[in-house]
Amino acid sequence: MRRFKWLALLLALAMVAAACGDDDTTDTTSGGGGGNGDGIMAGADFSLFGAPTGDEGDALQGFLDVYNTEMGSELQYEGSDAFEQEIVIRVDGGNPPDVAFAPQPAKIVEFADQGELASLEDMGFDIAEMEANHGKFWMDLGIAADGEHYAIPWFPNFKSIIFYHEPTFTANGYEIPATYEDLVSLSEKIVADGMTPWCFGFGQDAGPPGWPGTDWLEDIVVRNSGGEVFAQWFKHDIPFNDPEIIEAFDLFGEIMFGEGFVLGGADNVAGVSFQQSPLPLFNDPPSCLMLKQGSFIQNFFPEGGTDIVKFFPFPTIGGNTGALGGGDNLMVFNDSPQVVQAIKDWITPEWGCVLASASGGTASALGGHGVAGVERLPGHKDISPDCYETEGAKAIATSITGALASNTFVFDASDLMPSEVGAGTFWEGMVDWVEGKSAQEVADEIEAGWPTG
Amino acid sequence: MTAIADAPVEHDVQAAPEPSFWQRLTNKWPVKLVVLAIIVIWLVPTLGMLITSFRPRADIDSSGWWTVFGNLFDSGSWTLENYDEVLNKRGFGNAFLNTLSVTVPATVIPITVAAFAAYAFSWMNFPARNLIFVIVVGLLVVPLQMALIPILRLYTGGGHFLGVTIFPDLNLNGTFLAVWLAHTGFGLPLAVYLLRNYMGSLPGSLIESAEIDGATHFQIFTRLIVPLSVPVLASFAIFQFLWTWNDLLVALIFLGGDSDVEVITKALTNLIGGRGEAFHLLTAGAFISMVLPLVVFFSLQRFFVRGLTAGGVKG
Amino acid sequence: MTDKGHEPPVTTKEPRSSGPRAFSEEAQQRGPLVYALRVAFALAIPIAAFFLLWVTFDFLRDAEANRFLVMAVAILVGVFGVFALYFGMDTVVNLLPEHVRESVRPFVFVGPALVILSVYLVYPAINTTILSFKDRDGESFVGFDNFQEIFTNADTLISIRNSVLWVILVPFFAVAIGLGFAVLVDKLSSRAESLSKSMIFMPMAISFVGASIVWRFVYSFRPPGFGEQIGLLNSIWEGIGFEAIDWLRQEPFNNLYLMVILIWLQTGFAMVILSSAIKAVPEDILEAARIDGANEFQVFWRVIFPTIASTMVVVTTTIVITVWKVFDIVFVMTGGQDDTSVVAERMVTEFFTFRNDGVGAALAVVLFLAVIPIMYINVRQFRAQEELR
Repeated sequence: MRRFKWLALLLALAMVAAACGDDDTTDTTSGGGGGNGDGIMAGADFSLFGAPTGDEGDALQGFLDVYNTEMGSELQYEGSDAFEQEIVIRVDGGNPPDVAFAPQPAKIVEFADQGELASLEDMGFDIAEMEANHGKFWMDLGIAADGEHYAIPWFPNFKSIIFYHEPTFTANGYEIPATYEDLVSLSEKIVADGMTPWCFGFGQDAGPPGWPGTDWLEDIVVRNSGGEVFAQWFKHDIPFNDPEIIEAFDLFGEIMFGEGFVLGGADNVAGVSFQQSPLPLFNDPPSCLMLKQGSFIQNFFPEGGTDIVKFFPFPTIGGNTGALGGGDNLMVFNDSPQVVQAIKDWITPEWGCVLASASGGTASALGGHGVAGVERLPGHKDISPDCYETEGAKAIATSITGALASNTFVFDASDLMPSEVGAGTFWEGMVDWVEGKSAQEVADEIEAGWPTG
Repeated sequence: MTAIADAPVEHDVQAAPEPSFWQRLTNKWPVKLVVLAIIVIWLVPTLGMLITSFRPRADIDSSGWWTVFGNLFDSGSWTLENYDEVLNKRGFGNAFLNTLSVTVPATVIPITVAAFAAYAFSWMNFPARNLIFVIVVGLLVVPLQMALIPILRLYTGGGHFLGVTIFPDLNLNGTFLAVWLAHTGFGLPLAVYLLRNYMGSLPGSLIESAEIDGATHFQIFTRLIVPLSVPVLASFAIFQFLWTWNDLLVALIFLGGDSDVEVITKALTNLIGGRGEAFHLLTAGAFISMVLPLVVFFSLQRFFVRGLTAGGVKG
Repeated sequence: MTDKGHEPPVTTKEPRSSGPRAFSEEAQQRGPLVYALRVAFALAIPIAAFFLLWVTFDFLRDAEANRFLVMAVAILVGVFGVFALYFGMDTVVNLLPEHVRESVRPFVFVGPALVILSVYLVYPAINTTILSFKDRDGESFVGFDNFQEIFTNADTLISIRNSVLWVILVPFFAVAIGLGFAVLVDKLSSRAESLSKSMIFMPMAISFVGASIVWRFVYSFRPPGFGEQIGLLNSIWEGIGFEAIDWLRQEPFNNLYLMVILIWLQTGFAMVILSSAIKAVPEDILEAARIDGANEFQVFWRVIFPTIASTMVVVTTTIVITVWKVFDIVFVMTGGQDDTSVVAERMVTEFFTFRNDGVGAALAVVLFLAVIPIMYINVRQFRAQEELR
């Protein structure tokens, strides 16, 4: 009866193993943090779910580690490349994370409308105070059909800036352009001086190209037509092919299709990934002098890059300015007291400073997240610029906190449009446009594809 | 499986082909040239990746991988740093073990289940046999992405039909068992299909004579069919192993992405970062994760031997 | 069993076949005396197997347990536990009255597979079909609106056109090259054959992330001013005097360039399966053909090809279905832009990016329905196979 021996052996193995397993569990939980450890957070054990991985993900875990040490909790960060799919599957499959964060307020509102999220009102957040701290515009994006708030502003990124090669600007006496006309004439001057003014990269390493182009167009719309038209535009109160939008395309065209303005030519723009787009700025001599991209692109500069390549704000059009950006929002699937407490802590200026940079700069009492090279912009008006290490980040932080305080921080429209447009036809349209389709045609197509109902 | 497979090979030594017989009939040079040409075409892309993984990061961005042939012996054009960085990143060893814990059972279970089913489809009679079989094969087309949400609902909420609980919440989610069963489910249609096609082509006289001798189906299956089916079992084992080894989504959904249960594909994507263009790490990581699948392929390849079935049939 | 010579020798390492053999022979030889023991034994096996699976089930739910132990238990249970379960069930069936026995037995063999398939594939497929008749949130029924949307929307029509092209071209080249290669290496020495096959098989071992990097180093394009070309194809192209091209944006040929990637991946599959089928062609038949004066081409077309025809159908079917479901290659390389989208990629985008559950599910249903003709060919193939024996 050899079979019985096998069975017996297996059973014995299984039981021994099960016993060992239990030991392991108790071992790990008894560790715990050495900090205060006696508050509501002591022993709290949940994970925060988000898209960043790599260094950016490590920085978030670094932030939670500081928090854990301070509070005696055991929070974990869980980052995923496949965040977009995974969050949908987990929520629809009945296994949502406790807390997650995402850059698209529309997605959060969708989850809220499905009844999956806890509202800020129910969790006892002070909405008026938050509107003062994070800007009413940002807070309003998280309002669901029931009129309650579901998205918690955490950290923004900033898009209304243009990076430039400072040494060349100084050497040739180029002035920082104040208006869009100045920007176009500066570009002409650079071409006349035998250089190429612009680098563009509409593509990305993985996934469809197009979104960097939408940022450009939006920055022009918000200035050329004003904030109200901008809001009507993304809410679809005016059609996508409204003359105001066509006008913005044409303004953008003055740069995109200017003779000799674009390195590699406009029709190749979609073939350059945004990751790759800043690199020609660092050639010697630089192959192009300017690049418009979100503040995060500094992470793709070679070492010491921010000493050479600085930025100026996107110039005004008709006297109008604007601070266009985006931002990650926390959403709560399970509103246990610990989760609520942790979030209330995280959005304070004190903890925002820890998340800001590796060391927390000179302003943080608790230090920083410890991952060199990763800086997270302030999502609260009172986060000090001194939380940052690099000059570039300090300057951007200052303009963002200013914009939050005065409620002029506006979100990227493509993140606010339905995703069929904002992550679909709008992207495709920008690519078609640089490849030669007329603005009118492109806008008509996007309008035609706007989802009904 | 190893022990079973050895037997017929030994037995069939005398029945094995004489390679020289082929050789005499074929002028092998044209054959060798064509084979070589295909191999080169197939290898070049991979070779590019292999070379890239040994190049310094700055070089990867600034010049093509084939430029190394210009300065092969220049120590500046080679580096081991990429591998160093990947291997020493925290949690990689653990991820390796986790992946093995997922892949080995997720390969063996579907093979066992499919082999029994394939035998029944080929050599047993039951109502609606062909219809059921066609449906099973048709299930190949169910897209994985559409299956994940319903399965996760079963895992987290239990099974209900018209308000009646068929089985309770088994608290399966986040366990290895959950992933094995999922991989078994997704791998079964192909396994049943391949195995049934192979088993069905075995000569009926063999089974009949065994039946006349009073052997039960179970005996015919274990002593006759399984040993004869080793090549196809080995083939499927390779594919299922590769698929589960390289899978990210199923493991992420049913096991979770916590560092203590993360699989190797997850550890790799963690290295890269969402926006990074870290080709130096990606290429090195991809090669590390390729090693074991290739070892598996090499070790199973010896089962693809001529005469395995032929010998069995002749007897 | 008359055919003792072909039985695998029973070794001590081999509980899988020694168990049933030992048991049945004992039972047969010792006759009725052991009958009681036999019943007890038969009942004990399944009970033990179920108990074992339950205990391990409980243990394996513990994700915190020691990795090595989990692995060891998992492998042991995966191999022997599952087998023991089948053995146990078969033994129970033997206790049934004789006339019932043989009609129940097939379900012991096929049952577990059907149960697993129902839970993991049939149930989701039904779920998806229902969803395809509902609106974007999956709440109210909208009849055939989603299907109408699919067959009128220009983007989905392009993806259907592309998928049809993929389904024709990729399996054709993958099977043709795989078969040709399998036939050719068959004539080499076994060491050379094994090495050659590994080379073609290699792409299958590369993870998906890996494959997309591999091909990025082939197709990569840099516009003038962005530095030297790091893509192999453009380097060659410039080398012979042309200007670099952004290959993946050249309509309509970009579709072909993407297909090359899948052909590169799938040829290994076709080659491995077809090669093992070629190995199964009895040597004496080949010899007989040659003695009759057939040359190698004739041997291939008249002897080998008909014998492996059923395997060809299997390989082609499998690759066709894989191609239908291809999504990652397109998604990562072009995101479906420049008219490269395919049905499965469209489905994932609709479902997960656009959150349009209804249309996403309807696309999945289109995928199901499109394989019916292929299934029909398969059914005929199986009928033919059964008539042959």
